[in-house]
Amino acid sequence: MRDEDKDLVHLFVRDLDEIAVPARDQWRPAPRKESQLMKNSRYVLYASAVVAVLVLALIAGFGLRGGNLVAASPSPSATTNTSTTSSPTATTTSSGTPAPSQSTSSASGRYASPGLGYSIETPSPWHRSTCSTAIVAQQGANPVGEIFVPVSARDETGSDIGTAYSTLRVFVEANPQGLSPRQWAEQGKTVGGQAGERVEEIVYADRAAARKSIPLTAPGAALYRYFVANGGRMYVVDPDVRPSLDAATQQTMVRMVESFRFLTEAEQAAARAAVPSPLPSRTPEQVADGLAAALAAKNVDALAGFLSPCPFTAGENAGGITVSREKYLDDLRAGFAAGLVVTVRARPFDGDPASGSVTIASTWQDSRGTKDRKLVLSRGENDRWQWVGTIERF
Amino acid sequence: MPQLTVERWEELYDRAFPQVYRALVAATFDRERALDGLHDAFEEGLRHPPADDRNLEGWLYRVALRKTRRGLLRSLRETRMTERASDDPTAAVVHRLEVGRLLELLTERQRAIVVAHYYLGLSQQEIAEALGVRRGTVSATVSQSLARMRERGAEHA
Repeated sequence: MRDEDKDLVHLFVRDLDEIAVPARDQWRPAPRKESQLMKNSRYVLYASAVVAVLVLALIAGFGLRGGNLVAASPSPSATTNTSTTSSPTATTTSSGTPAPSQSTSSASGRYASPGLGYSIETPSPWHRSTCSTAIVAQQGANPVGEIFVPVSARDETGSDIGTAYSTLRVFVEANPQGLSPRQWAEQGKTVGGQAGERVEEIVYADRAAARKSIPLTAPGAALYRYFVANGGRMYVVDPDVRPSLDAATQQTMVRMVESFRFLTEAEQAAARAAVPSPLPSRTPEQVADGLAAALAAKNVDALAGFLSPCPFTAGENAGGITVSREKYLDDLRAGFAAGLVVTVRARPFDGDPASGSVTIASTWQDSRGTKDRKLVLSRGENDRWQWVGTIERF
Repeated sequence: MPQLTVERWEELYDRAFPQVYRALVAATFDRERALDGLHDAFEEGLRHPPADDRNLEGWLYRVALRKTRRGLLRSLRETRMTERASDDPTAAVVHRLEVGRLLELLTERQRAIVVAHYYLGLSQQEIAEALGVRRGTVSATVSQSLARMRERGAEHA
């Protein structure tokens, strides 16, 4: 090391050692201090819970009254409750459940995960959720997962408290300590644990594995949560069961779980080759300007190019839901036909684009009134920004 | 090599905390980001402890930097610290230090590299891995940063 470099080392050590460190009780992360971004995210999520409850209450109300199919529109006046007015909401039925009909079809496909190296049968309309992007490459040690839903892509709905229908989830997590599937299951890793559950060792996907029974399922074939190791990672195949689970759907889920297997290298290479090339990057300015123009022109087709596959609608200090892009755009189209006028102020951004998320202001006006809404823009894969949702200001 | 136990991890974390915290403050000029990054790194160590306890300071710095990487490598890629608004009193303290005035001349990424090199003693390869850049980039950045700091030093000589 040169003398001048030694001088710099001395200078750095001398000066930086003067920086005061926090009190010892702050060294550990409990309680955590939230960043503004985290606060904003939590804000939306808390808001989502409230709206979800209200949506469910509305659904129950319609069900009790024997009401017919109701589809809320993106118009601010489409519903009577302000907590749900911001939304092209989920279609609800008189049965009291927001879940579109679940699968009993025997038509079958098979999903091959390009990044996680497994495949699973997907009887129609089961498919990987549009809100659960395909894992193309697992990075880092954090768990990742893909979610399968029993409804068509258009009928997908959700909220911050989950979906109204049962789903099947596949999680993959690094297993640096080389735990056995039984140890993983007994320690409640990845998916936690429940009192009284029993772990048993079995063979699954042609490997030594473990499974746990899942309570609250319908009579018939039992559902299990499976744990199986492969390539230094633990795979957890996890049926996420809702109380409304019917026997036919349960049987389909059992069949799907049992169909899980690992891909050969050739199969995984083929799955990767089938992954479409990422779309080109797009700036938040391009999205904001495009949204302003398309909404002013009531051009739903143009909006489709900016909207994420799974947009959310939420309220500040309230809750929110997600619907499919197709449903959202259909409701927007209906709103425009009924006289909805949306005015976007494309600048300034609220928030720092470097954080990966900004909002722009907009006003939604129709015959019943005017609402201010924040349009949320977010950075996606390949630095491609998109419109991911709307927050209504009360 | 055996994995670290939780107790051993906590002991090592406490031992490394002051130096890594100071390095992160010097790199980010943001006490909150530094502390948040370390908290995240602590939790990461609990979940997935490093393979061994050699150069734990380097491991913590790398992981904490990754946790704040979006800020480091995207929002502040070419932004000088002096162009950033900061009401963090810790930043003001750093400004008053001689080395702080030199670090002011650098972008945040340059600071992260220089601090890792001259304060934590990380190798260029370790820094390259931490920031996801090539080793040559680290070497060039150190040289450029030194040149810039020497210019300032000469001005004040």
